[in-house]
This record gives sequence, structure tokens and C-alpha cells, in this order.
Amino acid sequence: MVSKQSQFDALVRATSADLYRFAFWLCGNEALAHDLTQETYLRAWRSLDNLRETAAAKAWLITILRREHARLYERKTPAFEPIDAVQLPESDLQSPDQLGDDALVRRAMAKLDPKYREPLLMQVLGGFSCEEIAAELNVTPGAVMTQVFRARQKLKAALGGYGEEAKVYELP
Amino acid sequence: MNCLEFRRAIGTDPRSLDEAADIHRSQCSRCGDALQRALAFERTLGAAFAVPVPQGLADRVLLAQTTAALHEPARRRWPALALAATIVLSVALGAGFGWRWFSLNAPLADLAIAHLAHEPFALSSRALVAEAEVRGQFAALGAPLQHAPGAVHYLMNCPLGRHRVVHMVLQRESGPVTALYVPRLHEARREFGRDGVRGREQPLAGGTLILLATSDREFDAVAAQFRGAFGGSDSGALGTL
Repeated sequence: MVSKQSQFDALVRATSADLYRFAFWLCGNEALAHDLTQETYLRAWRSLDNLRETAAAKAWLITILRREHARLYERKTPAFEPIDAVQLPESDLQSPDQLGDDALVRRAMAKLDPKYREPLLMQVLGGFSCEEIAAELNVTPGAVMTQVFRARQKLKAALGGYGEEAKVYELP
Repeated sequence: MNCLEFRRAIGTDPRSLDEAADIHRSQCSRCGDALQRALAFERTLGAAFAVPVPQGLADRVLLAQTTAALHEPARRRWPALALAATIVLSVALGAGFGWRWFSLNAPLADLAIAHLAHEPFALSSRALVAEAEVRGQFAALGAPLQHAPGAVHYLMNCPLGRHRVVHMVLQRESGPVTALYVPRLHEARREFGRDGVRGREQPLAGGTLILLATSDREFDAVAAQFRGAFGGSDSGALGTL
């Protein structure tokens, strides 16, 4: 029989990288993302009995992490940087002509309004469906579809080559 | 599904297309190409989101968790509560067994004094108990009286060790006198005192009369009343008064 500790070990090893990345893109700060990830897993450990399906593990953790992130706002004036000041890797701070697509997308992502960034993160990193994101963010699925559509448009627009495609995708 | 709907669908989530979108893609080469570009962008997006993860993150998370688990207040409380419960249970059991041992083995005088503490309100009782009730209690224990042993102000059938006794209080001039009558138990007469309580055991009518008070001044008179109540039926016992 698998012990609770070994189940938790497996959970951490399988999900910690994605969870950290989600935290990073949520708060834009490496140290804070690390702390958020730690705190999320500590809370997850305490309520591990609530996790019934392995497939739902990442979504479950992201839900905990988002609550932890929200608690930071409740506890104190957050040390969050404005969107423009998200800590990007040093390699991303070069001039645009020196940057690859990844760096350009990261830069664009850092500047993305949180109302577009968060649902896109939940979809791409978290694997949530639009309906699940809607339930999590307490908005309609239609609103989520619009947000993730526009988030992609804005990111594509930041990468010049995708500009024309963005126009085609435009919703009426 | 038309091209516009298809483009909306791949702009929303190109990795989760429904059956209608799949059919449209197979019938429209331009939209099929658009899907390929969208999927390529998703790969770019995924790679861009994959910021470097701190080295040893999982190990640090597990270290924090196992450390916290070792010091979790809830977990610490349980052994403490269990210990406390064990102590309480042990004391209760010990007290229970101790009391049972005491009840079965202690001298009658000690049991009688201990019994006073169980019914302290009895000493302040001043309502006169009907003679019939007094006689009824004695008769129930197989020691019938011919009449009441004077004014009885408290009456109860009580356990005393392994015995059933008639517990009475007689309010006298010098204060309340407790009288316990133990049927079918012959104890030699003796006086005793402890914790400010004076006492006397004496055989009477095939049983033993125990008298307790703060002073033994009334013992002779009370004992005489009981002897009279039994009608001198136990001359041997009476002879010891």
C-alpha cells in the first residue's frame, strides 16, 4: 500500500516545475514564486486526502496556489512588481533583434494584462478547459474564450510574423 | 462549421478541437494550414512559458514539508491528548479499583466515616421521617423494629462496603448524630475517632450499630433508644451497651 508520504513525493516531483512556472507568471518574481510554490505544497500536504484523482492533481494544486497568491494581497501590500517589471531571464533583456521567439513571447507575456494572462496560463500550463477556467475565475465560459483568444492575439502580434494571422483570428 | 468559426476555435484552444472542427479541417486546406501554424505557436508559447526552475526545487519542497510534518501542531497534540487521556483513565481506573478495594477490605469504621462525605447534606436534614418509613427500611433489611428509635431526621438505605445499611441522622441537642445499622454483622464494641469525627461500633440485634458525631456525648442515649426500638430482642448485644 502506498503511503501518504510517497504519494506526496511523487506529486511534488511530477508537478513542481509547472507549478513554479505558473507561480512565476502569476507574480512575476522568482523568490516569491518559490515561496508560493513551497506554501502551496505545504497546504496540499495538509489536505492531501482531498485529492481523489491523479489527473486532477495539477489543477488542484493550481487552485491552491491561486488562493495562496490571493492571500498575499489580503495579508499585506504585496511586493508585486508592475507587469512591466516582471523579472525576465537576463538573456531576455537583450535588444529585440538579438532575441529569439521564446524571449519575445516572454516579454510580451510579462506585459500582458493579468485578465488575459491568467486564463491563458491556466489553459497552457495548467491544462484547464475553458469551462474549468470559468469556474475557477467565476466568469462565464464565453468570457474565458474571449480572454484566451485575445491573449493569443496580443502575443502573436508581439511576434511580428504572426501579425497577419492575428487579424484572421479576430472575433467580430 | 465555416472558416471563421474554425479560426475562432483554433484561436481559443487549438489543442482541443471538437468533431465539427476536425471535419472542417479535413475539408479546408487553408484552415488545415492555419491549424498547423496555431499548433506551432502553441509550442512556442509552451517553450516561452517554461522559465528556468530553481535547481533542487522538488527536494526543497519535500524538505520543508517533511520538516513541517514532524512539527505539525495537530500531530503533536494527539500524543499529548492521548497521554492526558491515558493519565485520566489510569487515575479513574486506579481510583475506581482503589475505591473498590477500600470498600471490600476497609474496616467498618473507616467505611462509615468515608460514607459521611458522600451524603453531607444528610447532617443538615431536619424534616422528621415518619415512623412507618423507619420501620419499613429496617424490615426490608431483615431487622424489624418494634418502634422507631426516637426522632429520625434522615433515612436512607445505603451501601457500605459489601453491606446494605440503614443510614439515619438524629438531630440531638449536641448536634446531629449519624446512625448506621448493619444487619447480620457482629462487630465487637469499640470506640474510634478520626478527622474530628467520634464514632462507636456496637453489636445490636444480630447486627452492628455505628454511631458518628462530633462528640460521643449522646452515644449512650442514642444506643439506648435503638436497643429499645428492637425491644431487647438481642440480650447479648444489649449486654454490651
